[in-house]
Amino acid sequence: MIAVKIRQEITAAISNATLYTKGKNLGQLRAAFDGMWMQICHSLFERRPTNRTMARKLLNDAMDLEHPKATRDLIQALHDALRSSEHTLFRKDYTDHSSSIENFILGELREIIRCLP
Amino acid sequence: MPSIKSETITITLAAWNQYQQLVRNSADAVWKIRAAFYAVSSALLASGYASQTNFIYLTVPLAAILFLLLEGGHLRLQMQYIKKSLEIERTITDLLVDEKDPFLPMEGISTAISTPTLLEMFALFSPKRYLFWLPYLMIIATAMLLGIYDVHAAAA
Repeated sequence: MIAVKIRQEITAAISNATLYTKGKNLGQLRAAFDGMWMQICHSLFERRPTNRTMARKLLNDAMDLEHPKATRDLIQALHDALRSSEHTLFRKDYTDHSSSIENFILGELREIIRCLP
Repeated sequence: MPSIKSETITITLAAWNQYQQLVRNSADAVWKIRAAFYAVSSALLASGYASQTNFIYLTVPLAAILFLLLEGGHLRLQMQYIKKSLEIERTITDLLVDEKDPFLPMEGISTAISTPTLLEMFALFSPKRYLFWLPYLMIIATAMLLGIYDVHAAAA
């Protein structure tokens, strides 16, 4: 469902979350995450939302419909990750938020990988 | 009859506008304090230079510390309102994307703010916030150097 390279990048982040909370690794993880939700949305709905907010709207609408359990779990996991990412992975304020990024990687991101076929 | 969602959005946007207004007022106050500090410190440095005593130079660091504390206090208020504004933006985004349980700010909608702490004050002196403290430091250093090297206008 997602490109091997993206999956490898995200799996590497889950294996060593602390390393991916800053600098170049964080930038790569952000790119991988963006690539991942786009590919999952395309695979599930044959649509490519243009940004994370539109993806959240699409997923919220999809949650009202009937889906097999595996798909429903994946939609829920992706929805939770996208919702949380704005305040963790993509947070832009001055404060150090390494711990919230680490929690995001080990929580929401790991859950998506678990739900992926 | 307006729907509950439409009413929620109206209330949320009104609160966001209010927070934005408070942030703007705070920013305005901060710039006025900064402008007053530049005017006062320039006047003191000029008087110190014109006179034959170092005492006036020594009043510059004192004035700088007073203005610094005043500006720092307003900045801390501004930061609290910015935080509240960001929380409301999160709620607005959740409403836009039809979240079933939109994020609600921890303290609801309230213009009340907590008493600024000393720790928050120290945080203003972090390297990233050099635009806040560097001008004060430079003017204090200038006054000290002028005083130490006894720099004054030549006596007529």
